[in-house]
Amino acid sequence: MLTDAQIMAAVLAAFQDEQAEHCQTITQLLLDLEQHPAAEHKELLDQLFREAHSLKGGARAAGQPEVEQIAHAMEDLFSAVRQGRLALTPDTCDPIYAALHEIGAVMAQVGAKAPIDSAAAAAVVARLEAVVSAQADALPVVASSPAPAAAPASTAPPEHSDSAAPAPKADSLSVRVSIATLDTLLNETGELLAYTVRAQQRKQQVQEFGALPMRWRRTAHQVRPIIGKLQSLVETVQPTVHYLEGRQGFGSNSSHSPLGSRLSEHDLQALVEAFVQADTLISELERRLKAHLLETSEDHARLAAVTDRLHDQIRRTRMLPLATILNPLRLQVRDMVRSADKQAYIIIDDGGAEADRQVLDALRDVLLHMVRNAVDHGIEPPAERTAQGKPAEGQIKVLSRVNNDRLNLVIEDDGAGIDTAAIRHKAQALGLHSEAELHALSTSEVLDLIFLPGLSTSAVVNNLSGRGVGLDIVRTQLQRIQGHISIHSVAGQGTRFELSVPLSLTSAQSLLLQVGAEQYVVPLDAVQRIIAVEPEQMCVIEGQPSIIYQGRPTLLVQLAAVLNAGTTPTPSKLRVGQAALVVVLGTHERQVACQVDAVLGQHELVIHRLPEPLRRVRYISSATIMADGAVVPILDVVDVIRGALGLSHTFVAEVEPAPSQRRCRVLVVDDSLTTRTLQKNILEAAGYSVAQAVDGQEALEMLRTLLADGGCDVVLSDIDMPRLNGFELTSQIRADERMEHLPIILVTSLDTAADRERGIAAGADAYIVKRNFDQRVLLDTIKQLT
Amino acid sequence: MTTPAYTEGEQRILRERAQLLAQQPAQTTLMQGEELVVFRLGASSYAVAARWVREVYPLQAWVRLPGTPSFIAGLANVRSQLLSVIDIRPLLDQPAAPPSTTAVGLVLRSAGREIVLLADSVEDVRRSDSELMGLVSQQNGRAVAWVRGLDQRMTMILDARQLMDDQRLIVDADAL
Repeated sequence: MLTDAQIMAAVLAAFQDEQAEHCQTITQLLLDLEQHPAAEHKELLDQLFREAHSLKGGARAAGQPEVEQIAHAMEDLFSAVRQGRLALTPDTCDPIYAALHEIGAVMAQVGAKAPIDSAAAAAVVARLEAVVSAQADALPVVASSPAPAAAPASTAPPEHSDSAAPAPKADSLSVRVSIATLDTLLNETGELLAYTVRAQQRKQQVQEFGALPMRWRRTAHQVRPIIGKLQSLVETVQPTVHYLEGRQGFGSNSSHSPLGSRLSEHDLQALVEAFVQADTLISELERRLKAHLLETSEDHARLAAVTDRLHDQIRRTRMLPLATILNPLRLQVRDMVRSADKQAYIIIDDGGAEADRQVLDALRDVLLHMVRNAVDHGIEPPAERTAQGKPAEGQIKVLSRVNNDRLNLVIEDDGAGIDTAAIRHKAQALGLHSEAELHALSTSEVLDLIFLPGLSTSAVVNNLSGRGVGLDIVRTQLQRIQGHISIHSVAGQGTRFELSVPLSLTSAQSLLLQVGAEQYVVPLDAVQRIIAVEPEQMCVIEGQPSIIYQGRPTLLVQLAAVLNAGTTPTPSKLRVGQAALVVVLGTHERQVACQVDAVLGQHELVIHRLPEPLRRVRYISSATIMADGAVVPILDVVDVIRGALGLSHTFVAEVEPAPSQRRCRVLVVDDSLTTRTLQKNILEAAGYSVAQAVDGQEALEMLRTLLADGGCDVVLSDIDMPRLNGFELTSQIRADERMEHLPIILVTSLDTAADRERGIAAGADAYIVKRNFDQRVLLDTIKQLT
Repeated sequence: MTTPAYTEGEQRILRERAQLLAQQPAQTTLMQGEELVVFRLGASSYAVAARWVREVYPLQAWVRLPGTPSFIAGLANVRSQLLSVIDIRPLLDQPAAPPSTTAVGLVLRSAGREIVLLADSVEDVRRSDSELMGLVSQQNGRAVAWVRGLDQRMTMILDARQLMDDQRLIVDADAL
């Protein structure tokens, strides 16, 4: 097991890279701003500020107070610039470059385990602070004053400014390439793939041409005896027209038939020669075509092989070690365990696996969620564990192996396991299954139920661990990247999740579908089966066209109707009683039979992400470019299934008048303007109406005023605030009978079990930890509570 | 909440910043005599500064996308690069129409981003007029920031850069 020192060493190593990146970005941004003071001012300044902020955070986590202080001073300076209190001139920039240089120097000392020259660092900080304070009152007219308190000892000479960011190791044999460049390369290979397919078509064409001389040879074979006869005639007869005419019998009685008079023996000879020549030429053509076919085939085979290799290599170049997302789990588990008052450690084996960044991005949240589940619900409190004869310290394992094109992950804990009786009870309470049905389910089928919405998110403790999302979301996220998850659990012994995801999302085996006039691609992974459904196999169940597939009623929809649900208000015209070609999408628990017009074939396709400004489009995850250049959208199967299952509700909604257009109102309570603005922006972008208060007292007053105006639907409050803090605010809201059911979410940097308990005691509904602050978590939590 | 009082110095800063802000459109707007690409779309003609137009491309390989707002005409394959095709009409309160078979795309590029503007045809490349007329939408308060005005030949002059920055273009099904 890892000691704290080992963990800190890992964090420090990560920070070495991180700080170099931040310093480099800040340098570049500053250079840009210095050169083009007016262009894109606000955006660049915001980015500068964020970089300095992240640098500070990283330094704090890595235990580098010198760097933290420098970054802090830099952040202050950028903040002043952002507020317009300070202008970025070469004079103001110099100390920043010097500071960046000093960060590089400090980190080099850390790397070399040399003592850190904290005086130099302090001098840099003083110089930065001097710039801010010297100009806080004076206006942009800049600074001839080069910072009074600055100690010249460590400041970088101007010629060093450009190389302020730490230079890469001299002996390094690698270069940094931006993802954008790799994406472009990948697109180019996509085009190559398309040309490979075209080369194959050319090869087939040449093959077809090769068959044409064969047909000539058959014809030639049939007429050859006649030609032979003609040839011998031409050679033996005397060269007179009359004689020839008489012998040949052209126009038997008339001596001047039109044909006879014009066809000399020379003509005949020319004809015969032409035939012989044509025959020779065509034979030559045939020979050359054969050779050409051989060459074309060879070229195609080579092009295909090189393109495949190139595509594969670029795909691999885009990959990052799985360790980049697994290693941070160590520290996160350590924090979770401490705040949950439990004892546990994590064993990680990444198996040296690498995967595409897109896959890793999706996996990061999933893994964090699952590990958190293991700590919160799996691992028992130490006393309980000892009583059961287990070691007090729980164990969580995350193991990974690459199997062909897929990454397999196991997340395992030796905790309490999952209580199947509770799941059965819950499923019955939710009306998902009858008691008899549940009785018939096997243990593993019952365990599978926890992936259904509503089953894993209901526990209060769950909400309080600050996620508000359940295993339902985990599975949905995995499905988006064509992943699967399964669960095994033994009560009292532990739980084991097995995940499988593709290494890369850049290409996939896919089915090409014809849907009305359009074509769509669906990943083969998401297709259970293609069935031709006969009329007698269709039925209407619960008022919905359905088929019985694998012994279960499965909703039957027209894919076209699902995709166009928003635009064309006509309901699905699917008629029970007509044969239909159906593609069954989804997994056993949630599947839909989609009627399509034709299945056009199976292809290995290159997946392109949707271009800006398309961030996420309902029903469409990405697109592909076919060999002929046509663009075909790739379906987001998760969305399609959701859309199909919700289809009837859409129609109902159309008939009934919309209940009310009033938007959901959220009251944001925080004493920090940044936090308020951030939350306001997120919420407004998500369609909420937002009211704001600077502390609990103002919030309480505002809530009472708002009661007259339809009230407020959710309160999102900080804990640590002047006048009335978050806990007190919660208690006061609960004490007011008009608001006792008002959902309250506490957002806090405090993450201890005691705080959570205090939150529950006060009556909060959910608890989000700032450190894990994530827009999606916030929105999901609000959605659940309203 | 009460408005906090500002010191004289702060007020001066604010004033100067306000002035700076007020000048900004002047910087992004067309330079006088700048080369324009004039294109026709539906009943109107529009123009964007040529420096933002990477190329004009016949819209052959493109596809409609379900579940997108009407200003997204679809996705186009521009030499193996997938780009979004924007029909500006719905953004200007006019109905969208499907592209004709002879439609062209103006590939706009700004700050590393690229989009394709749908056009029925490209009509002209010419220098901009010095004076622009205001539009009705500018009088009734429904003006769109990236429509600069009308030139003497009744062409609507668009600011390509601001158009690309328009937040309304972003399609994100997750953001409700």
